[in-house]
Amino acid sequence: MADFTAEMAQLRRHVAQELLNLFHSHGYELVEVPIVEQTDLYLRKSGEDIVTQMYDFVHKNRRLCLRPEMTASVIRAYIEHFPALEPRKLCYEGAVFRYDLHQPYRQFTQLGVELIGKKSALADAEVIYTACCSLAKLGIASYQIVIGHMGVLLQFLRSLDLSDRLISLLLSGINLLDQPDGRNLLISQLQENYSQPPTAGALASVLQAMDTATARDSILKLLESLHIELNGNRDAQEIADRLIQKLKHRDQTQKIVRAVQFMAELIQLRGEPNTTLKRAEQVLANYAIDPQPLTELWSITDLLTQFGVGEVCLDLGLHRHLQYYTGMIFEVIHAHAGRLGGGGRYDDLIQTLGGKKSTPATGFSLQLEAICQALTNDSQRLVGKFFSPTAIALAYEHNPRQAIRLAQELERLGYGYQLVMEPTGELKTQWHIVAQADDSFRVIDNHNQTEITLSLPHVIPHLKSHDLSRRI
Amino acid sequence: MSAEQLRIAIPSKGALEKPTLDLLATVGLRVYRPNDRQYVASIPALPQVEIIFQRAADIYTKVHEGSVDLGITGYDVVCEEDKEDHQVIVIYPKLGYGKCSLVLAVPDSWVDVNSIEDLAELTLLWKEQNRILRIVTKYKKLTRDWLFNHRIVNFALVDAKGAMEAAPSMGYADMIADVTSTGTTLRENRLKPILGGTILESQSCLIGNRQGLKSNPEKLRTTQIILELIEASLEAKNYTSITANVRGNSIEEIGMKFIHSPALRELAGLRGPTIAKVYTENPMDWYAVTVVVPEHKLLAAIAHLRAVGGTDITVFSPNYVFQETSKSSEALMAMLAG
Repeated sequence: MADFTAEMAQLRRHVAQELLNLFHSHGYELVEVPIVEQTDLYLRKSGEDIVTQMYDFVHKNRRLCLRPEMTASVIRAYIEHFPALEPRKLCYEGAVFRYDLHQPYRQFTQLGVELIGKKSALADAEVIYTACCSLAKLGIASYQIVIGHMGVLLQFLRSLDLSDRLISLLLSGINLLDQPDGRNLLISQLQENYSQPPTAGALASVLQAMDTATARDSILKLLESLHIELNGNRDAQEIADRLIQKLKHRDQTQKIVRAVQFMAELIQLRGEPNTTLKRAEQVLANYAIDPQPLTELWSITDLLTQFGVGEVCLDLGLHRHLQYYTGMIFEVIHAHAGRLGGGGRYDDLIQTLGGKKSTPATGFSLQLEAICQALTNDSQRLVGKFFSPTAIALAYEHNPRQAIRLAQELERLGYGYQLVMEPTGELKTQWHIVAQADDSFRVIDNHNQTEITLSLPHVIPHLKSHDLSRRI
Repeated sequence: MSAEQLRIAIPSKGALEKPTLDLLATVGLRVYRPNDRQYVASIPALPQVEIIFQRAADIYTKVHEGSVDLGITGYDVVCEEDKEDHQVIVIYPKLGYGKCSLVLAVPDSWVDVNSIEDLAELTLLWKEQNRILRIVTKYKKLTRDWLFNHRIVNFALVDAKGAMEAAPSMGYADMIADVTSTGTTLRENRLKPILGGTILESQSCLIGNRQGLKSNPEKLRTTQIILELIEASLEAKNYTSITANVRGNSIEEIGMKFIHSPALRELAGLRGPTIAKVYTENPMDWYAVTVVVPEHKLLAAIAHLRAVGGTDITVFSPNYVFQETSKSSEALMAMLAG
């Protein structure tokens, strides 16, 4: 975890404030949520990638964690404080914590919005537009919006009747497919765990012919006759049902190969929206998948054009490492600083976290550290632009009493100044004022390389008559 | 106790105590402990060493904080206690005893759970039902990290109260993660290890405090002596020395027999056979051939020696086999440099 000092700290503060102002101007109300949450909040829906990186601990017998992301917390707050569950626009800023050896920051700051209660392409386009406005306000230009859709892949994997575990492993393996031999690697990794032992084959075909109740009954009787007791803290029926399911799901190899084949085709679908969507329609038709997600993407990209959002890239293989996304997902990729943030639609999360009715939602978050890197990359001098030191350094070592009198006068008139022991070249202030032992002041103008000795009543008129007419 | 003494912590009052003392005695570093109640002892062969008896579980901590320089304890303890700050280095990873595995085990009655994938799917089913898999273990860090690596997250680790193996049948946990060497305790408690569920293979190892060794050349030298002895002694267990009398006309003739027969060449010892003349009253020439071969090739070597006319075959176990350099000593220097 990093310290930020001087100019970088100032820049961070500035960027955060600018972004929050922009969110406000787009109608988002600020919510503040605690840093420490109950671990369970994230176990329920955030997914393995996030959960394995959490700072998770037991304190006074309660399992707590430092929040690894903001959306789950904001949604929890939404459920608790807005019981009517009406449409809401919420925004937030806060530190999140993830233990990842390969990331530069284990604590980083997310700023983002959640648009809750609207399920439409317009809502999705609006959040993407808000993200673009945020970057425009900061003067960041060299980035690309990459849009995908979780619906395509999830729909296909569910149609294969794969277990949740296998779906999760497939999703996490999608990045492997970018590698030269990634496809075979992924298949062999999964096959290792999901090929059926040959002995179970015959039993599986017998069970396949039975209905569930008969099969369950047979299994329980079989186990009883073998004197295998099913007592303990698990339900006998659950054990029997899972055993049947396991035996019925014979060799999964064919399905794995099919799933990986589809994923490999999906990641090829990347590029300019119109042609990519046309190619995608073809692929989905080949696999007999409902093209609804593509219809949504058509509408979203069309709306973005109307919003004036320029270059957009579609990527049907895009995958964000949070499991709660259900529809459109997007990322903001900067030419030098990489991923600045992203977001998407999550229509199930609110109910999963205890909301009374199904409530659609969409949103995004930006990472402050990445944005600051993009800003400093775009212009090295930018950091200085946001850091405005005081114009006056008042050296008081030789005559504190006199210096304090001048300081009070500056304070009363609203001038910024800093008290120093001795003015040095490192101070970037325009004026160095040194209180002398004889109650006079040496007034040095660093910009114009002039120096004059004045008595107390003349110091401020002198400053006023020069550049310091503007109050800081 | 002088400041230059090398302090070594070894396990006391546990399964590792006796084999550790045995090992030290075998390598020539017999521990002298005036009486069983004292927790400090010495090694007469190395007066610059002080032995401290500690609980195996505390030895990592002692080495980490630097109050002792070296320690012998289970590799499982080292991995579990690891602070990831590279202060503790494993100097000799496999001392050859105290072998055990840290495994995940479920009740026998879970006939639907045989592999780690079955377990993963069970956790996802339970997640839907808002239920969490409770695992009782003394190895929380290892268990959590390992399950996380296998993308299993819907579990809670439960503190061990008394006999851990009984926890699933008593109901305060669903399954266990524990060390086992023979599997007997698991079986007696109607638990079965799951396929692919071995978290760690462990045995006793020698660990050291990096900073302590790096900053004190005296201690480092003593450590290197100990390493040399352990390495050469453990290496010697793999070899056996065979001497046979072989009849022949000259040393060269017998030497050639060994070098030209492929089967014999393989058994010619670490470098080659040593051949010496045996002085007898008999007019025939006899030669003594000595070879050092890997332990498992003993009988094959004897058969081949007989085939070339060998007789009066005697076999000895070497106490030490020193190679031209000590690998573990070199590895230590590399670790300290890194």
